Amino acid sequence: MKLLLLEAVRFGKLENFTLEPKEGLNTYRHPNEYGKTTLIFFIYYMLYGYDARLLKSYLPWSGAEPEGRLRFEQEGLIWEIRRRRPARGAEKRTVFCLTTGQELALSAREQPGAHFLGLDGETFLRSFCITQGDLLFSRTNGLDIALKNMSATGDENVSFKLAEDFLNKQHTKYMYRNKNQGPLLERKEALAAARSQYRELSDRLERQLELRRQWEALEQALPAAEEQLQSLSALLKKAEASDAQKLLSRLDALRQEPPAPPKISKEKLEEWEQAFALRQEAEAARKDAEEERERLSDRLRLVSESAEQFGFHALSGRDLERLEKGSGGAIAAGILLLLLSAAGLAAGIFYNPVFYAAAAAGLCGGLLLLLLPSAARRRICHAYGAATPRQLSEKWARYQEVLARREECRAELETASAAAAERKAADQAAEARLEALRRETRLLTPEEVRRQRVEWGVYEAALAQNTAALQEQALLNGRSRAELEALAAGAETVEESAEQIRRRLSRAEEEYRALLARRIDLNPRELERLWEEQAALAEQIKEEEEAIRAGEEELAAVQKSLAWLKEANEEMNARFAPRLCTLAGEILARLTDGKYQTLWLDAQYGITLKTPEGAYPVTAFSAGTRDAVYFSFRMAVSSLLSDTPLPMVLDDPFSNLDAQRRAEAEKLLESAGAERQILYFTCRT
Amino acid sequence: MRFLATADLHIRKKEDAALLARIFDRAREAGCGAVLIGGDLLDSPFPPPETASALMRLLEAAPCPVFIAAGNHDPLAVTAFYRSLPEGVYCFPEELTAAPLSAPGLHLFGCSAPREQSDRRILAGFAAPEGALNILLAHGQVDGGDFQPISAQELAESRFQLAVIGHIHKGGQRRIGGCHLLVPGIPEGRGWDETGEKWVYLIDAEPEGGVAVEPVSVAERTYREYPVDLTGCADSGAILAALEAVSVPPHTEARLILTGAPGESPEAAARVYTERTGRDVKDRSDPSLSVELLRGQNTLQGAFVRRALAELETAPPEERPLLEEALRLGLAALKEARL
Repeated sequence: MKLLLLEAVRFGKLENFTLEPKEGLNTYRHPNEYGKTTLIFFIYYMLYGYDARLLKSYLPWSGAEPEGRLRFEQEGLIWEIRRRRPARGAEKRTVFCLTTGQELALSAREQPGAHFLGLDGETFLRSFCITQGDLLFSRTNGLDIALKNMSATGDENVSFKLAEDFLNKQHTKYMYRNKNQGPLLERKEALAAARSQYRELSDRLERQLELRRQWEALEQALPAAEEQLQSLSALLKKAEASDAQKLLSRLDALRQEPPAPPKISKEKLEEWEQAFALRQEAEAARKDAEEERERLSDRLRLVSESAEQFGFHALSGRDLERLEKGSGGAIAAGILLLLLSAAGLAAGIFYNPVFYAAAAAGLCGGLLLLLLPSAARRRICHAYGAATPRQLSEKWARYQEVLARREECRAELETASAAAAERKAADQAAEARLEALRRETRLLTPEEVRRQRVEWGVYEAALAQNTAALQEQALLNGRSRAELEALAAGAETVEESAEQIRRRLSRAEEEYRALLARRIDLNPRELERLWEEQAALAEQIKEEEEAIRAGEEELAAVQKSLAWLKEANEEMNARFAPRLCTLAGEILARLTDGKYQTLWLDAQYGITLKTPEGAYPVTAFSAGTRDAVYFSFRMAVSSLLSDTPLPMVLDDPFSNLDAQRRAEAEKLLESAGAERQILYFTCRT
Repeated sequence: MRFLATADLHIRKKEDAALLARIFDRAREAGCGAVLIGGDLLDSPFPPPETASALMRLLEAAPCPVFIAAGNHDPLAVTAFYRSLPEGVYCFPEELTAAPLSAPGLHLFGCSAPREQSDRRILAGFAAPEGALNILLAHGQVDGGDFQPISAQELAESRFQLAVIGHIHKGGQRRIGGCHLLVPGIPEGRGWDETGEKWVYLIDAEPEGGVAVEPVSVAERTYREYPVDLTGCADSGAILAALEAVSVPPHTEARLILTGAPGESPEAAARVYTERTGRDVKDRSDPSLSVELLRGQNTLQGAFVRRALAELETAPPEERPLLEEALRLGLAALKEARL
């Protein structure tokens, strides 16, 4: 871009002011208060419009409307911008191409400066002019910061660190950096607590609702219970009157009829009792006889079993006697035979061996006679459980005793059976008599007979002692007849007695008291209060949830923004800063005639200046050198910011340099003028 | 038969009852056979005594039978008001029940919300009888939400030809299967979160003819926001003129929303406008520059914007708000970082 015409019709102190810069370096030597700064802001106004924040103090001193014209060349075309800002209404602006004769249609929001230069107004303002004030802070620590910022951000006034700090501060509003805690988490905890409190409130509300339901049920039941009490009380009165009436009727009946005797005569009762007693005796005697018979029967059985045990069922006493006798004869015969055999033996020995045979025979026979009976006796004894005949005899004797006892038992049993039969017959006779009396009197038990006796007692007592009066007295039960008559006056008949109604009334009163005891001290305001509290808490929870959601979204946005910022910073660090340093170094070398050629940039954007003596931080140098370094950077940034070479306006930036340096700087401007248009204002001659 | 359907009146003060009076007047004029109220007639289960009395008088004098389904703001278990309704006013119990509606060929079913929170599915397993025009009146949410949710499938299978469902304040209608779903919304806006036109609905329901729904207005006031683009307004005077040029019809509560990029802060002009008209002004204008311009600059700001725009251009729609906010925050940070 090359400025061709600056015409400030009315702008700040400038009125009908015209400047027609040429290509390259334009040097204007004018005293102070010439309006250089006003001219800078006029250019800004023409390219970017009225910004009250910057231009408020540059409204025309005359009070008229600001107006101006700017003509420039860009890419072979000549353009003219006209502006006029009326006091009311929209600004008048035209952008006209003088070369083509066409107006450039820009929207109200688009500014010609942005359109033609690709820069926003602030960046343009920073880039296209260097004022005296810009270099003033080079005398202070501000230079270091400015250079760092220019390297890091391309704008001396923009600090990456400050931008990062701003975002970190936003981050800390929600989460603390590098820590898993922060306001957002605390809010979430508070939300959890609020939700817990809500649940608790909800439970309390439910309990209150239940209380209210019970209260409502009670409120409905109580009137019914009271009504029932009243109804029963009224009914009781009626029943008492009815009872009194009934009693009076009964009393009247008592007076009219004599008492009737019991239906069963006393004689008959006596007869019944005797028959019953007789029956009892006969039954007892029968039972005794039967028991005796049973006892004798068992005894007989036992004795018979005992006889059986002997086993003498096959052996008779005669057999036994014969056995004993037989055995004695056999023994004698046997001995005789033995003697004979001995004689025979002797005869055989002395006379004739034929006698041996006889001896032998006799011997054998004698032995047989001796042994066989013995063996036979032994066998018999053994068969009946005796070792010897004597034992067998003794056993037989005992057996005989048992048989005798058995016979005795039999006899006794017969006698007992006869007695039992006799007594059974007596018992049956007594039972039959008693049964006949039962049928006749319809009295079944002695208890009933006794009651009849009592009836007889009452009857006899009533007969003897003015019965009706006693009964009446008993029935009146302490009340007078007059009282009864008063009570019964006008009574309706009630089926239930007063006593029955009294019992019902008592139960009803108990139930009513129980209802009263259950009555709940319900505070209806409590339910409403809980509801309001719950609703307010629900609203609060909803707001908190929304705030947390928004907070989480905001936190995510902050984190994303931080990430972008860091990446952008890394890009600047990698690409922009080295180029800037290199270009600035070249400009500085030209400015200082080669004395300072190289500028280094460290990781913290610290600028180091290399000299033949060594490398030193830029702040270690003189003010003039610092000015030169700053100026070099400003020129370099201006070159790097836009592809279109911007015109530059210098408002006496070298006033603090010494004469030689100033001359060198102005020589630099001449060479810089070959690359871009420069408007150089100075009050120095 | 003609019905008037509405919901979410949220009557709290005695003055709010006038809305119900206007609804009944409208029902009377239109010759309605019944008024259907789909929940939240009351804003609280404990209306002040004078409000309850005023409502009770209105209900007693209703021009036709009134059918009410209790909502989450006036749940049945908590709201004693519904236990002593006059004759001709019927409040549905908690269970889905047929109302005593004397109209041949028409069945009206409904249910009340038991408590202020209820996630039960009121239509689960339910199917209305065939051969009639079935109408549902309830308080809940269709296809989403956690208060008495109703799925589209349940509604389609329920054999209701018309469903009047209260709870959502933004009204609307649509068809789900054979069912005409009507969400009446609130009949009158109450604040700035309920802007725009509000309606009650006249419904002509015929067993053979189906359902026809017509929105009518009973609102006496409407809340509306008016966007005002301040781009090109160079100073406060121009901004004020732009604000005063906004035409607001009667019975409308208006709020102006400032947008665009004015030449200076609209704060002073907005204050003057509010003092003159009593109307609220929300400033959403952005005097800062287009990010497109910053994209081409060889600065930290430019590098930042390039990254942001690169991601924004390819981001799915649901991620755009987060990225735009990140861009805004970064630009604000760089602005704050200016020495």
